[in-house]
Amino acid sequence: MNAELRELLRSMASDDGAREWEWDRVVLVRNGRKLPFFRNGGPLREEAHGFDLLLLGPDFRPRHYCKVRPREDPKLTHASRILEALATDPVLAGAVPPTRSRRTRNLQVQVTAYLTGPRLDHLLADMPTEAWTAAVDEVLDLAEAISRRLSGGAIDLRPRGANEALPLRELARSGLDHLEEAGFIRGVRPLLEEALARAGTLPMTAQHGDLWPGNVIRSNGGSWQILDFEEFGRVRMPLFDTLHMLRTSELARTGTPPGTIWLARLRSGGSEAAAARRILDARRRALSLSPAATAGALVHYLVELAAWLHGVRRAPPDYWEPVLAELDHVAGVLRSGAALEDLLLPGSGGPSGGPGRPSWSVPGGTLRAP
Amino acid sequence: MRPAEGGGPHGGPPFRPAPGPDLVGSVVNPLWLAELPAREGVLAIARDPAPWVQELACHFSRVHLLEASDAFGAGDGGPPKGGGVCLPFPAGTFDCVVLWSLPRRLGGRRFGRSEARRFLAECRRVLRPGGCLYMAGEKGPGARGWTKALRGAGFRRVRAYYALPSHEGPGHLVPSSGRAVAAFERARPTRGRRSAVRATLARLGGHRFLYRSMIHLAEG
Repeated sequence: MNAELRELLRSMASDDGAREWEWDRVVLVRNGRKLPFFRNGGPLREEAHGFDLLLLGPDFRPRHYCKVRPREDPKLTHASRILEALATDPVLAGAVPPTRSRRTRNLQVQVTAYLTGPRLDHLLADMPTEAWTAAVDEVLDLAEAISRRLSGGAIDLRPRGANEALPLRELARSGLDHLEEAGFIRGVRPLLEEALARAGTLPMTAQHGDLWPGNVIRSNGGSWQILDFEEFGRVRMPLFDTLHMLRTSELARTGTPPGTIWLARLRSGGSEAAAARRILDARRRALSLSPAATAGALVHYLVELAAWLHGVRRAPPDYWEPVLAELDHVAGVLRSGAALEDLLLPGSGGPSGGPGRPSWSVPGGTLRAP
Repeated sequence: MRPAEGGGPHGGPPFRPAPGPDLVGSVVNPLWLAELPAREGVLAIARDPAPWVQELACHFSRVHLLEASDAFGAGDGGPPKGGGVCLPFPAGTFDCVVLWSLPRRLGGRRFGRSEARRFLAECRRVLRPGGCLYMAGEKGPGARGWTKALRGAGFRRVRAYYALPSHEGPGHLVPSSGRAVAAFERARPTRGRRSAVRATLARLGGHRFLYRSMIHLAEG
């Protein structure tokens, strides 16, 4: 093993007094883009990802999870600062894995204890609806507590020049611009902007940004632990985590085939959809958000996520196409003249629409890849 | 940010790396698992000039590319002419030699075991003391003998890894021991009967049947 990396692992993940990590106990995983041994002049480009290591103990059980990145990687620095700050909190220390980080001349390494509990997405399929809603509520409460703790702490989670509150339409502008340039929302942008404008101005709150069931572990004691804080604070729209958790957990829970649209499932009614609506309603009431603001939050969530996956992450289509399909569904609802909030919140009367409301006739297929 | 569709990190890694941009340029990262005394010169021997050769330039000051046909002295990587292989470099020229997609040939019928061993010894000759050979390719009929052949060619320390999903896009590199493979399979987030079977197979010594690509790191 490279001497610099070997020394880092030895100092940060000394395992039962072992002086070295034997080669057959180091598994290289999530090998991203190149991590150069040295810089050939100039700073590393942002896409220099690095890789992760799964460190096995003497009994060949996973002991540590280690992220290896270029020294200047801002995301890992950000995540390490958050995790190390939370480790000092008497209440929240147990909500994240114990973490250590260190930099050397070329490398930045973050070592976390390997969490052995099951991931929430593995538990979802066997959970009755009540247990699922309770779990989602607990995880969202935990994420909010972490956000409150960090917002009042030494870590500045706000982008430079960010205001405390922003019109949602402004907040979504860059995402809309990207999706329009990519040819995804031609013809429907005015509809989406109208829904965003109706939402008005929302209070900003730092969001986890990737709060899906795969990033949630149930510890052996039954409490929840949240992982992956590299995107924490990037998004500050208050219902982003709620919407992301509801959408991804329900899709994971039902083992839906590719192409399934979460919003269509919400429309279809049933106890699962009702439970999701109740959670969203309770969350938006706690934030004093109007139904129109909640509908705007949904549009912002989908626009932000699709633009980020497509434009920033440059992820494969498998990642952003399902999000665009949801946005397509939203456009269909808006085009039909129905109120988007009726789709999301309880009391709308279900899929056929309430008294006096137009029934939904969603054309779909309005968004197409160029 | 990773949506549910793509898997995600936790205490354990995601083992379904999405093909695409994330894996572009990851080919040379396994060299972090090797000890290199210096990073001045590297010799890459491949069938065709490949994009990953440019990646080597981020790790080494000098990159020398030798097409396989030139290296073997015969077209298409066939048996060497005159019964021997002589790399056209003085001894101790490079800190690293990268052999790309050749191991299957090395174990094949056209390229016999003794020629393979001579070729590997030649690779070791052009390495500086302590330099590293990076050998990547699909497993062929002679795969089980590669470690032995590398040791026979004089390499001091040989480490074999399974590369997933392939050596061309090694999203994961698993040490080729049953216990390490079993641990890797157990930790996969995409659990299920298939993972359990694979973990059991690995524990019983069948790990060599699970993956199709290997990477060897041999220190001279």
